[in-house]
Amino acid sequence: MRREDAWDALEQARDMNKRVRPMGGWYAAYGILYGLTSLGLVLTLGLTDSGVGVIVASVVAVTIICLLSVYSLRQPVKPLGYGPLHVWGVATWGLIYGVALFVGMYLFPGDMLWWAPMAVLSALPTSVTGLIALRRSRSTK
Amino acid sequence: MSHPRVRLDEVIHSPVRFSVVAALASADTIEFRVLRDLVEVSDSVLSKQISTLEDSGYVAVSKFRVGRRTRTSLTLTSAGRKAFDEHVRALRDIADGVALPSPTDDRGAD
Repeated sequence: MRREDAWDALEQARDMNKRVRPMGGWYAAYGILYGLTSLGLVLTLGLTDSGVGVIVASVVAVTIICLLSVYSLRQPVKPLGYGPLHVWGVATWGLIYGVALFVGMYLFPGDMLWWAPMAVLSALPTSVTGLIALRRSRSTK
Repeated sequence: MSHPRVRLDEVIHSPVRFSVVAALASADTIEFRVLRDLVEVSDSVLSKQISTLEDSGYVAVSKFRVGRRTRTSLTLTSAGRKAFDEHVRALRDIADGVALPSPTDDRGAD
């Protein structure tokens, strides 16, 4: 193989990398929307006195998450490290969400000082994984 | 001294397969139809190349349903990633004009 052929092949690989990586950037939208949904849900569940409010918030959140799941399934390109990122994001979210609700409903019902920070915290895991996927989609390495 | 071309992977070295593996190395999974458009070959040509890569253990193929349609998703295995990385290292050495000593070189003192 000549040096020129090797350069051409390496250039071809770099070009392919530049074309494929951005195709995984959709996961940022998924992660951030998931986080915002969680923020809204935790805040509503924690601060509302109304049973109807709880039901509506839950139905809306479940619907959004189902739609996000369908969106994710339909994406033809999954970004590098998608599996571990997704598992970490959702598992961490589940833990924070569980603590927020379990502790909050028993010890801090209706307390903004608990529910507001926990709502924001619950939005972080999937938002962070989404931003990591976005950064990777823009990387050329 | 041995030339780095001996470290080129015979399976990946083919132009179409090299493009396929380069694309898969940049993502976790890619669907068949997208890969076909990226590599700019027909369905049958891509299927044949994927079969070769799959037989070598470099690519894993999975099928799943979305609605009424069956989609085919492709992933580079860890063996495939390793082989691609080594192939790219060999290409860089060729491009840089590097010749490495062979393991049988006698470098003993006088």
